[in-house]
Amino acid sequence: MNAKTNPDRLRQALRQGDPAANEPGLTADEVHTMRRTVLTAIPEPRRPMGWFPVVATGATALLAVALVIAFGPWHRPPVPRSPIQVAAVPTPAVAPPPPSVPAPMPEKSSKPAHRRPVRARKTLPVRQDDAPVLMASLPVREIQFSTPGGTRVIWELSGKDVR
Amino acid sequence: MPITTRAILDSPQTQTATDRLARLFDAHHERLFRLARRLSSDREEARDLVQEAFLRAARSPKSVPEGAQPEEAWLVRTLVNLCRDRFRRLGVRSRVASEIRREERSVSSHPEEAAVARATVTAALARLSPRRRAVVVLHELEGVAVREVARLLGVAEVTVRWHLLAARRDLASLF
Repeated sequence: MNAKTNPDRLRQALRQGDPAANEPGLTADEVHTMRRTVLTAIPEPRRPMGWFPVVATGATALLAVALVIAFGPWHRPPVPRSPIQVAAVPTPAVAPPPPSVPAPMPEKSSKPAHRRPVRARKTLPVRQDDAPVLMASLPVREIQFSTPGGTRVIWELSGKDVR
Repeated sequence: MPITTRAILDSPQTQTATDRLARLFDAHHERLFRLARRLSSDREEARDLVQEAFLRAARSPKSVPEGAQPEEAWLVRTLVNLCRDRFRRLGVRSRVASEIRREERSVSSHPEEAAVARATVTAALARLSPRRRAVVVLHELEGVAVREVARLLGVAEVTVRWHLLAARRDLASLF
């Protein structure tokens, strides 16, 4: 056979010797077995929220660590404030201070000579009648408590209130 | 275009991988086995090739394109690649030598003309490289047009024609 000159003759020769021409295809058993093999080879699909358990576990662990750090055995609870005891205590007689005279500041040699001297702060003379003034100068204190109904009451105590 | 219930059910979003693979297998296993039988030396090898091609589809279902023609082309290309892998693994020389010896024994034991022709064609096809063999089988034996062969194998039409020309030249010396 000279197929070089005639492609049709080559095609005819190939079709005469077609390996699959007279052979049956896959049998039903072969198809069934192959189908089962193929379908069971599908990998497990990933869940769309598959990352959620990991993130939730991590967040829970972080929260637990933060709580342990915040309230662990090495945590020192804040010292409770002593209840405010405000009483009108008679103010001892305080001798009036001497007239304030600014104390001369020691001049440093490095300072320029023309610098103005620092003035001493003016201090108010304290008299016995000035107790309210002293009380007023106390820091404002707060008393907070909650009623059984949930109402939160805040009392601000200043010096003039506790007289 | 209205969205019908049928379209929603057939949409890729609602199709599970198993259903899709089952449909793929049912639609293409016969045609793929026929092609594998022509590309391979015996029936067992053809069956293994078909199964391996579908297993590749099962392992990476996203790589199989949607649509009847693209998925058929994907399967054919996978099958040809599997043939090529096997061809390389076995070694060309040893394979051709064993094929020729086997076909000579086959010819001597089956003197019928059809068996002689089949053995001759099988031995001749075994001498071709897998891709060239696929081109010859698809075009000459299955009667697929050159353009369709190019689409199935994912190559240019010029490449298919070049393979056909070279295959005719190779086979002419054998017949």
